[in-house]
Amino acid sequence: VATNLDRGGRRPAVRLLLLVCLQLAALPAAAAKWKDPTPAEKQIVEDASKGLVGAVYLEKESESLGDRYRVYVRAKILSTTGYDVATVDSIAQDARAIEGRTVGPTGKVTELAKKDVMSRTVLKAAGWTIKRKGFTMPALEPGCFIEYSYEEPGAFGSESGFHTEILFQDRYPVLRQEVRTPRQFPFSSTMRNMKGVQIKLSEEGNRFLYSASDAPAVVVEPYGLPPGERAASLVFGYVFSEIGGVGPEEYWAKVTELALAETVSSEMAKPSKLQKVLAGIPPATDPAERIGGLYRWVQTNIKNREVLKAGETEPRGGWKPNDDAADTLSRGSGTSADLTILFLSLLRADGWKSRVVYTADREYRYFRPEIPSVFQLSGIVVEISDARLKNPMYASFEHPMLPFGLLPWNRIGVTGWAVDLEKKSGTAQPIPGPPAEQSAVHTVWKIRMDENGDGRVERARRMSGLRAFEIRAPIWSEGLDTWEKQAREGYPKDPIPGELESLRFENLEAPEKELLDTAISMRKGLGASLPGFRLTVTPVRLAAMRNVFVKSSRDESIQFPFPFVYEDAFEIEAPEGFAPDTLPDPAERKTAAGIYRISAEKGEGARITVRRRFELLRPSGGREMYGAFRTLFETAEREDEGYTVVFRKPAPAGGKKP
Amino acid sequence: MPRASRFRVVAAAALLFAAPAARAARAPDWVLRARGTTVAPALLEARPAPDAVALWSQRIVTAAAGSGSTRLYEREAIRILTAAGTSEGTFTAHYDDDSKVSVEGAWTLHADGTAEELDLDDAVTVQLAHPEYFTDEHQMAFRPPRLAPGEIAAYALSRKSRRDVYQWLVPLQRTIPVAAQEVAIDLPDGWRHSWRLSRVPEGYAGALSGEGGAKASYPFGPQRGLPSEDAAPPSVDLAATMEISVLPPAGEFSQFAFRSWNDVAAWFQRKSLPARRDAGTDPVAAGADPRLAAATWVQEKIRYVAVEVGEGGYVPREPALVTRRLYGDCKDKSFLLLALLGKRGIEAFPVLTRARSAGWIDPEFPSPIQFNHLILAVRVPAKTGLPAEIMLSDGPAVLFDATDAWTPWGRIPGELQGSRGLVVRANGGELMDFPFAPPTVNRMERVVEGSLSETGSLTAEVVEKTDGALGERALYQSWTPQQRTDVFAGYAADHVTGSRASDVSFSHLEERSTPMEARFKISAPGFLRRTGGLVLLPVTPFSVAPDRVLRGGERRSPINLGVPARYELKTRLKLPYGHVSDGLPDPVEAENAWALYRLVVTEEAGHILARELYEVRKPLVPTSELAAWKSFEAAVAKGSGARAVIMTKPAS
Repeated sequence: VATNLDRGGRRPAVRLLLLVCLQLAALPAAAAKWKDPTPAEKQIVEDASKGLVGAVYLEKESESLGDRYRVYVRAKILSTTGYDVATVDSIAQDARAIEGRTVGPTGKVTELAKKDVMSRTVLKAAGWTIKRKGFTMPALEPGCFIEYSYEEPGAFGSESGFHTEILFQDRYPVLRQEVRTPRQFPFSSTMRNMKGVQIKLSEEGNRFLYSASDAPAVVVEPYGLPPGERAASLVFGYVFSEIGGVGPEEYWAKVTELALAETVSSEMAKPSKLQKVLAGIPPATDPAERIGGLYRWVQTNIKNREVLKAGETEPRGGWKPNDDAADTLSRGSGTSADLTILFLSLLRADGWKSRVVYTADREYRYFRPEIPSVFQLSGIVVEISDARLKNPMYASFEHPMLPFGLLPWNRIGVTGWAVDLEKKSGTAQPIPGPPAEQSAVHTVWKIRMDENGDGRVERARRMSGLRAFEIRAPIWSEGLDTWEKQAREGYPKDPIPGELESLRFENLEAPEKELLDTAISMRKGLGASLPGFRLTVTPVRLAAMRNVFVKSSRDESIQFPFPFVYEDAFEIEAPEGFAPDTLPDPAERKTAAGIYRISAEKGEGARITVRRRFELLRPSGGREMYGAFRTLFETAEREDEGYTVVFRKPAPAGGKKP
Repeated sequence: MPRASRFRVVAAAALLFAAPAARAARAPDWVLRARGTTVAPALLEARPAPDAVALWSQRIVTAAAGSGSTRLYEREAIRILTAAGTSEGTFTAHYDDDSKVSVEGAWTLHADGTAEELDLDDAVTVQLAHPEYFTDEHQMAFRPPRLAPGEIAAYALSRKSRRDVYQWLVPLQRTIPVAAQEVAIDLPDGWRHSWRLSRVPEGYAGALSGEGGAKASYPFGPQRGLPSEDAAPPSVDLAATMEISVLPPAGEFSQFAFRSWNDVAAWFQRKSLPARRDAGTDPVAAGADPRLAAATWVQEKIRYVAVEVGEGGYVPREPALVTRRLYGDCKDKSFLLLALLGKRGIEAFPVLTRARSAGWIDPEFPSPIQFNHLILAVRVPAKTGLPAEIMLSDGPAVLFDATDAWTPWGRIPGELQGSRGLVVRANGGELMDFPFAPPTVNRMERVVEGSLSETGSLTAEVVEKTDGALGERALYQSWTPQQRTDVFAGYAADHVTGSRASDVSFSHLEERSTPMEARFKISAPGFLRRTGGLVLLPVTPFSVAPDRVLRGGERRSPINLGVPARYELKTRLKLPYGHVSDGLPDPVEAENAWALYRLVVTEEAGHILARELYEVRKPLVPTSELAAWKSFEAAVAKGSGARAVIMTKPAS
């Protein structure tokens, strides 16, 4: 990441006439309205080995004129799968100068007719109507060239905002891309180079030119990077006049002082208003227990308005906004941020040192302190870094079903911006996640088989950490009825179809405890008959791991939400008259990503127990780790789907010898 | 409506409904009365239990004597039973430039008897358009305020009909149960109406069709919710629907009244006149078969882009414009082909139709609203024997869907096989049944040839040939080479766990008239499973056995098997050196009127050979035959997971 922060500088004004002349001379589409294909471009053909599939962008040019944004695009269609490159949707309703043409493989030119530019209502509600324009180019054929241009109002057109990211990679390769901005421009810019794409900055008269060439197409991978991190991009952050055009360090220092710390500090409640609450929370000698008590008090006594329980509604007349933590306390409800600030207030009043950590949402993007834009941040968590604790602890109020010390997966394993409210200073702070063993599912499956290969299955699970939260959160929001209904509908569609007879939870709304559930079901086809009066049972198919890493290679890193452990014991009882026959050998596979183990043993009577343990110890890794993830999941899937135990019964009189 | 678009509007609505504006209000009397509706216990006994129940549903068909426009008024009160049921309180309605929806109000009747009314500004509207599928259809969604389980959501709205259509389809059954409902007719004096029930509603013993005057009321008793079941026909084929035609007085608005299929054909004939023009310069190179040449040109060159605004929804564009743009929708492509065939002296007729997945076309209800697609019937001089051939009243013709880029001349896409269509001619219309292609055309043949190593791994080549309705050419053509490779990697791993696919190649990917072949190699360590002294060999990797149909016992819908088709798997697996079979699975054969399944496993010269066959003969298994289907499935289950036992060859 390279940041260029001269954009908001107070450069002396140049003479208006010169400025206008320079700008006019360099408008990308105005220089020459359309460009004929060059001989070299005519030679470009679909070639998967070169990444040329479907279509290729020959040129993408855009220029901000401060209050307007011009776009010019030229592409070649290589096959019918690339036709989508010729459709442009969701440009501003007041966009103008929308023009385009298609140059056929034989040179025939077909213009985009004005009446073929469509206008649609994207959304109409609450007295607002949002409209957008779009078009699709005419006369498409493999081998044709398309080019179009348009101009939208705003510094970056319809994408304008305080934080704007211009991607330098697309669904198809981009041979050349250029972005121009005025030197006098109220935005900082940061180049985020990815996947070999280097965005270069140069000066061009009174403008800055950002350019890159030969950017490969973006490919979306399973468990890959968040959408906001997949492509090389140019990031513009609005420079507020109070902060000015300064380097990232100074930017964050000023933003922290003037906005991030101030916002929270000004909303904290005075300790005197919290004494009654503090007095009602049982004292504890263990610091973590005391702090946990404060956390639980907020979680259980203050309703989170943003995550209502299924069936709850807002009060008549709507929620009244809280001005500060005292309001939150008196009204007994607030947003996640309100609850966080009340908790911070309680910590301070109770004498605990803490910081507020602003975070990005890892589901969409990472926080990068090199980028001077506060709009990367979308959530807050609390770090309790008191010297009386062995290690810093973290707390989040994003969901009422989060226990103390557990953060949602999208806030862990990445860097946040920690703000010391007393010093009004900030620092980049990695937020750790829990180890695999703390997000575990331990399951005992009691299976009673019949001769047809069907089985009655009693499943008892113990879930902890984020695995338990994954169950609790949707049940909280959608209701247990809905969960059970979906489970009932899901059982028949399972690879081993079945009918759910009963489902029971314990500790469902006690997030500090392990979540227990017991399900009883009938499953069809869990076993199959085998020549020789044998019955095979493949029990781990009930909980088989799925391997999504089936491609031979991978372009980007691997990102699982969090590490976890699955431990399962399958206790199989044979049908009457059958006895255990053969057991498979144990298997184990360790890779840099985790461990898989499976084994079988004979139990009491006609029982066989299969034990399987899967540990994803490393939830993320670079592309060089792909083999480790692939081997781990491939092994797990293969063994889970194929690990077969055999029961046998004596041949009937006169039957074939077993 | 595209599913994604529906999600978009509902998602947008959900965001806005987070805090809808509301005001305390008195609910209309009909809502208060609905609260007292007795819900028959049988309605709530369904499994899974319903999340909501419609206490009262009223639809009133009206017309204005002066303008001729007709309106359908809807009133509905729904009791929310569970948290999930609150989504049933999100009401939707759609309209376009020719029709309108006016919401009169939406109310929540709380458990304490108080009511709140939605501020109608909070209704959310989205136009369901994209540059490549541009329609003037708007979807509106709204939800009464602060709705919770146990409470009643109610709304009243009216829909103005498209100006060309005086007909309404009023469903009497839906996914949630309906406790009581009425369909009322309230027309100006001198107007009449006719009606018909597509299916018999539950508990109904009256006539199934009739005619009436300007005023009428049709009450219907409790209706259970329609279940959502796998492999079921489309829901419109399961629900009882009241088909209503508004009949103006003689001589008034006669062009809007459809009493016969000839009326519908005449309507479309009028609408399509502007498109019955010359295509301009003939772009099609001469070919030995002029029909094939023209049809293929349109398939290959004209991209599917639908611009359906106003009359564009049902009026085709001039062929010359389509030729210039090289894009168009089904009507545009069909009329361009019609023009190109006309240049060659070949007669063709537009055929209004819809895919089977959109529901059966009711032959007793002549109406344009039953159609959403257009294809052609191309006259042929004599019978051809082609699967797409139909016999018109005055000779044979071949159906052709120019919109489908990869179904060759002489065949129709699987979705249209077994459907119906209205052949539009200048002097009337002919409603025709479309043929199913036989299983010899709709077929898939999979061959797995491989060898097993002593360590238990399998290396094999898989060749899959597909044709007809099972043809996968369109799918592969829509993917890039990398996507195709990725798909096969996933496909192989799904069928043989832990396997890796490589060397993906295709034959006849471009040649419409030849079955397409996909070919790939797999390597699968651990394919042979050792358990103790036994070595187990799955004999049908890449099985073609049908999926189980779920909830056989409680099922209420027929089982939809698709189209008559033949699926065949042949495997030939070479045993590891020094191994022989110790036991082969018994042969399996199951057969009934709807399907055939067969598995035979043999050993031959060190190879295990398996031949699996699944053939669909009749595509719809009626509910009265579910027991027969279950026993068929039980047999199939034995075959599809069959394993042989192999062992080291004993010393001689």
